[in-house]
Amino acid sequence: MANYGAKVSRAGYDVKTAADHQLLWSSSFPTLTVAFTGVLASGANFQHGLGYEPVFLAQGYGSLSGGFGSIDYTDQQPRVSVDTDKIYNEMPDTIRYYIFFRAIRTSYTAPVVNTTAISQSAVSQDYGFKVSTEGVNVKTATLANLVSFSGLSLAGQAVRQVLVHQQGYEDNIGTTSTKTYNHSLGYKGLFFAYRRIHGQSKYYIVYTRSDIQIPPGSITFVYRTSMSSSSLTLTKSSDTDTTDFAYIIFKDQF
Amino acid sequence: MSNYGMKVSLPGKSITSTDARDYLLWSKYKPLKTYITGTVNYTMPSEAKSQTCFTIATVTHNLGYLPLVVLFWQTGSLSSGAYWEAYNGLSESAYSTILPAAGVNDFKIQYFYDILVSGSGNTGLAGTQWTFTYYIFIETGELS
Repeated sequence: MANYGAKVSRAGYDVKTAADHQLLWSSSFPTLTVAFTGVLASGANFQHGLGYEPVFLAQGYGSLSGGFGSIDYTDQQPRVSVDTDKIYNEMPDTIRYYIFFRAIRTSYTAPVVNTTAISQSAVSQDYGFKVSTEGVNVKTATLANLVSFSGLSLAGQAVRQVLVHQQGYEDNIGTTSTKTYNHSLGYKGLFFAYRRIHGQSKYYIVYTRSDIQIPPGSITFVYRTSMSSSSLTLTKSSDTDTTDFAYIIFKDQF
Repeated sequence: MSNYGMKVSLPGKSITSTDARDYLLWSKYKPLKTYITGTVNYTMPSEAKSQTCFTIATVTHNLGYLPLVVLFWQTGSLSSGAYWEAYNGLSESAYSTILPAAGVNDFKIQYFYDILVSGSGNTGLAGTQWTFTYYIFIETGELS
């Protein structure tokens, strides 16, 4: 069967030879499309009504750091979750959430077309591919209002859409377990991971939970997700629950 | 008003599908877009501190609004090689905390710890090598 479709490379990369992660997008690889975004007060929920548990991100205010990005939580695990109908903020503070048109419980592996990175050439002329969102003039749209943009950010880096490489999920993982999920990227890729207590409906983002024990220097992890050039590993220790775990790995390179 | 724009479906999916999951690009919806990404190498300080939040690194983004951010870290102090670990905040009651702190024009990686890092007989984290990878997205992280 013929290989056909469409692809756009990022500024400075030859579209014919660019590696997968050097593309702006390719019709061979899914991306994360924002379904909903908004602000949720502590204790509130929002009904997304998608009928599946969606990939999501959230962030809030960290009183320790005085900045945004932290999600404060109890029991050293974040308390923002989704089920097939809603997103829930169980944090003590307001959060910003992003819900994507992508199910957490998805088994998917993208084709690996090209992992050999090429050098970025100097961009001497302003040309490329740009699509604005509905109702926004493409000539004056800000980066935030562009659906797709092959150019450079104000910081000089290429603006890019995250490209999905692999997704998977596994249910009923024991209280102390190590699970390894191989990928074929050949480099460490950006990833998000989600978990829920087996038998319950809400998925939470997995952030490494660590305790620096007294005396200092002894690090104990309960949940630990780690990425290598060949696999994503979930390590559980001293947990009290069996877990359903899901992950999404992107072609974006660490 | 006419319904016009641009759509690109994924392999095997009809361009007439009404399910947004079937599309790579649909001008009706915005994708998640990275703005700046980078890596910071850091050696934990040897001096003893307590109840201190200090800045490991500051990245200027100049977006003029709070962006969505994601932070990963890796430490060589662990056995069996080094790993990248998803990390985007931690309980304020923990002994030790990595704190991503996005601002209107910059992003700080901060460290808070409530223990003595070094002292007689304690190995601590002093001198350990840490690596951070951050993603600053175009999407806003504003809370209003």
